[in-house]
Amino acid sequence: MVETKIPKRISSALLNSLTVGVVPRVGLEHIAIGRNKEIDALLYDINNIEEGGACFRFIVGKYGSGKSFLLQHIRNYALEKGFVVVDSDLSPERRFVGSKGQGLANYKELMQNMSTKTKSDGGALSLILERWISGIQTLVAKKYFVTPEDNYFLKCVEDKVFDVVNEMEGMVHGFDFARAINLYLKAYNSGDDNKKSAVLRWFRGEYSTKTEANKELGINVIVSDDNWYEYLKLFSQFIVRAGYKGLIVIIDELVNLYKISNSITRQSNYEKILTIFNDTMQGKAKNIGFILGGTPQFIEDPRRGLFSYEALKSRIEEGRFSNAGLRDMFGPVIRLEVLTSDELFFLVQKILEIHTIHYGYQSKVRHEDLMVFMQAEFSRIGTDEFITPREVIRDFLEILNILYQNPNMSIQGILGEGEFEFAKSNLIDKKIHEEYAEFVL
Amino acid sequence: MITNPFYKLAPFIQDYIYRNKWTELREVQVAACKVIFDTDDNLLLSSGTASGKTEAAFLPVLTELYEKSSASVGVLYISPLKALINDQFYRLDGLLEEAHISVHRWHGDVSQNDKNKLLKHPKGVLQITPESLEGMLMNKKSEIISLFWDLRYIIIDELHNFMGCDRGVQLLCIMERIQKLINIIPRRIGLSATLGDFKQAEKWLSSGTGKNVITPKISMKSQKIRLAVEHFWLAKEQEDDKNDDTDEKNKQYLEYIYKNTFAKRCIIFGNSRSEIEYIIATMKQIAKKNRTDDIYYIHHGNISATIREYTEKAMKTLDEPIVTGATVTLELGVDIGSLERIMQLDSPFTVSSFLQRIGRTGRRGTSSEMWFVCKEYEHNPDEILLKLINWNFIQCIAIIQLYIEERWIEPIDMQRLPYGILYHQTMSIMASLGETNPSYLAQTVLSLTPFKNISKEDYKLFLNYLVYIKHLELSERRSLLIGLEGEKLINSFKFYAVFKTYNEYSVKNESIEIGTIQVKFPKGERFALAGQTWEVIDIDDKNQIIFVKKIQGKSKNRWFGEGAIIHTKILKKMREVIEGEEEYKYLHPNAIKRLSEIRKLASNAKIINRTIVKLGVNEYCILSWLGTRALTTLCYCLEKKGLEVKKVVTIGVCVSTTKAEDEIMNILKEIKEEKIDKYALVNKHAEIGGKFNQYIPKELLQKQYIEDFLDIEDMQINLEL
Repeated sequence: MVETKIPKRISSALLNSLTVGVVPRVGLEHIAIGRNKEIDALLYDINNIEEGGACFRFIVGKYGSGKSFLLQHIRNYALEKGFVVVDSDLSPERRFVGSKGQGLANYKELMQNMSTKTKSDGGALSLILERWISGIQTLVAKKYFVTPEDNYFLKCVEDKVFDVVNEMEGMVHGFDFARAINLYLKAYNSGDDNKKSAVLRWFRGEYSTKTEANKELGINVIVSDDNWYEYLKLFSQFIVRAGYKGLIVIIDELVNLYKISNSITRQSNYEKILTIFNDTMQGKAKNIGFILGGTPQFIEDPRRGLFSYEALKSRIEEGRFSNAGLRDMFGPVIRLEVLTSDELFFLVQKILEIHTIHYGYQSKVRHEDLMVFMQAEFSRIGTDEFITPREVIRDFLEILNILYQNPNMSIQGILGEGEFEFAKSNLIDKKIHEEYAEFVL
Repeated sequence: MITNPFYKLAPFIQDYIYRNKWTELREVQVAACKVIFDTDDNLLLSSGTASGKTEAAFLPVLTELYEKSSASVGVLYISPLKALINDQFYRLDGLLEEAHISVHRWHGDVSQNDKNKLLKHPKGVLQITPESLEGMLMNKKSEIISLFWDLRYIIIDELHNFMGCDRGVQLLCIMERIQKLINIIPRRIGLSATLGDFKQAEKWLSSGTGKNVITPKISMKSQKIRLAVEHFWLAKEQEDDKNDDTDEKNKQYLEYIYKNTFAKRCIIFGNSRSEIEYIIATMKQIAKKNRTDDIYYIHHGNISATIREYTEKAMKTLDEPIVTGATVTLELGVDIGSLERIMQLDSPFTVSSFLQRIGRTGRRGTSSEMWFVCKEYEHNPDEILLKLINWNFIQCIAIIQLYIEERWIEPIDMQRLPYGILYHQTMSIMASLGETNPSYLAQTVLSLTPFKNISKEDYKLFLNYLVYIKHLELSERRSLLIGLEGEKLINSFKFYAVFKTYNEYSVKNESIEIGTIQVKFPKGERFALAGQTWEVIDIDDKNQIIFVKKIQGKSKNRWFGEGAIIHTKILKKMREVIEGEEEYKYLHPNAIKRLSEIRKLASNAKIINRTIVKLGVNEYCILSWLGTRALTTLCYCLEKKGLEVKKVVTIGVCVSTTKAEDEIMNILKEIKEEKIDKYALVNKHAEIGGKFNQYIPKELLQKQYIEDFLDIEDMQINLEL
């Protein structure tokens, strides 16, 4: 076995995340399998955005095909390259549009998760603003040879900020956005923390009425269900001026739109997607990339999926020449195939390696033992469609932990006793009485 | 006097009692206080109308709320009718003025603004209909918890109205769903007027609470009732309905109604909306001719809410004569002030309906009074014997006799397999859950007490059918979603109601809505609504509006209704009435005459003690004297034995067979004695009517029909040979 070097910090985060069944935020490269073409396509997009372009992609794959994994991978890459990333999972409460403020709720979620390389777990908005202001201060100090003690230092900084902000006033809602930035600058300079957090609240869409925003900030507009996309575009422009490469918007679980039980609401969500799609494809948006994750059903179902909306269907549908073997990586839809058994086996081996490195021991698990484990899991996959690589890895790590603590046991022994409790998919996490456990359609 | 519950009541309630000069707490009120203060059980209050039940429930409950105020809505008051809610609201208002316990209403006619206020600060008493609660559970599930998390009591008014029907099953489900959400089981108080059997009501009330029910025995002061039954001959019913009131006979009938309601506070009850519309329109005409005041109002389900409320208010506030034509809507306990008399057109279907109606009069002291007017159209001379007898008239006497001799009231049928509500609750729960796992859905739905007889296999079949008809959808993860057809249905407010609503047209005179009707009358047609006659001038099909103009004259129209189920006991009593020679004091001259004619007819034809009457060649009538369900069961048994059922009449069934009379008799004996497999009986598809039947697999509907409609026991016991 090749000795790989993984820092303890990374291996620990990797193992912890995988044990509880979430995609790790770091160290993904150590467990990435295949997907080279897909990743290349997305990296190409990211370079494009850096140069002022925009992109729009659907990542489509069945449950367990590694959508979330891929999205996380891209997120890490983009952060590393100096992008700002916002991400969210849609849910019944979070959509593109909704009658009960679900669109705004999604925007709020995105803003709360705003991340940069140095603050990769969300809440980076204030950091971005402050870094930008201090950047300008440094620039002003250097360029005009003034020090913060000089009287006209503040004036110089404000002038510089105005230059940036003026460029944005031409955009939709740019005037108010610029005002908010100025307000923040003033509050920053005078050390008014209340005002600062009020402006941040405004940026994050947390004002519920215009009256309230007007009273506290003197701004007569608030982020709402109808205009939140405009604010994302404004942010993309602002952060580029603040020294970042661009804004990547990652939205997962689009299948929640498919699940909406009101055709009009579904339709208006698809319309919003179309607006964004057109904007990015026609070059109206700059320095922004949308990566949306969904299942094939969500995209293709002609009755309630994205394809039920003809305008989107004709734009998104793959060309006639594309099929499973010959995929067009430049189309807006990137399809992920479910991992093959070989790939899964390879993944399990990698995990074993990380586990032994992390805990510093020599594993007694042999190739045959892994085969036994994989066979047990595959028989489960065959009978239960909810089993995905996520569950397989959770099981595997649990077994490795047992083996590590009980060196006398074997994989065959653990599985053979019939008491090993396999990981359940997260859809069945509600409490179900034994009596109904077998109720399936 | 420490034991007197009066002193346990909150001070403001004591004040209220003093101020209103009540001399003492009524018996029912004392009993209610004892149960509420001294136990933790559910409470069932059943006593005659106007015995102060509502106050009896509220006095101790409000006291408890006053002493330990609730942090959310403390009392949920569920009522079958919006009208009832509007009425109770005023009744309680006086009591609560200074108590700082607020009363809120929540139903379709309450403004969103008022609703939002309550959602912001949930407190006090909430009055609501089952339908509005259903809407809340479907669309505002999270708000249910903040509204009710400290709920103490659920008061169900007019309990008898919920028992044994779909709406009651729905209500039981709703209450259990709320209990599960808030994780407490509030005490329940049931208020009911007429109950034949407390045990059933107790079982119903405590369903899903795990608590006992106490029903305090309340001595019924024997109330004086006055009854009158009169009979009229009417000219043969004509197709075109023209000139039917110019006929001398019809005139007499209408004049009688006019005379006996004239200058009285009175309700005219009819069994159909169209009949009531016709009678009230006629009364107005006669009044106009006689130059007497127009005191005629109308109240039934097809009238718009504003007109209905106007009528209720007029009846309650005016201390003058007022005559209101009504159907079942006014059977319920809307407080409409004291009435002098009920005028009943034809026989009510059941004893309990009779009691409900008579209960509307004689409130607070005066005696109850009900006058029956039975009409009979002239017969064709060649009519068969059974048709020559006015069974409805006999039924009317039987119902009165059953009550005054035996105090008997129909027991209420509990549904074993309420599939209609199973559908409704499945969709409602799906709407509030969003995507869900079949096993979780099955657990949530089937653990509701009303569905305890439904097997998992049948539910699986049921869900698969819903997927098949696209009301549900199976996702690729085998979880369930609302399907495309289902979403059309559940997104309409009409979905909340489980009772049958028909396609309704709004009737408008210029911009004012007069009411709604279910039949689309063609242009130029005349019909009566809200006590007026209208002519159709235009129809807006898209918006379902019929534009009309007011015209003089009148018309007859029909609305669709559903046949009532008559109990076997009523049939047996009808036979007694015909057989006996008893003279009933309440019969008026024409009725006395008609009864003796009928008795003579029956005795000549010897239909009393004979089971089989020969009608013609190979045609017989089996006089079974069975109620609707037992009779239907008998028909199936006869067909199974190879007899052809030609026709079902009130007292029996006509069959066609080549068999001789004694052979038929032997067959009947077999049917009475042998063990019958009811599942083998029904060979053609049969189902109990229901709003949601089209969404239920046929085989389940058939099962429901066999379990819940057929009654072999009743048939075998009561078939007398």
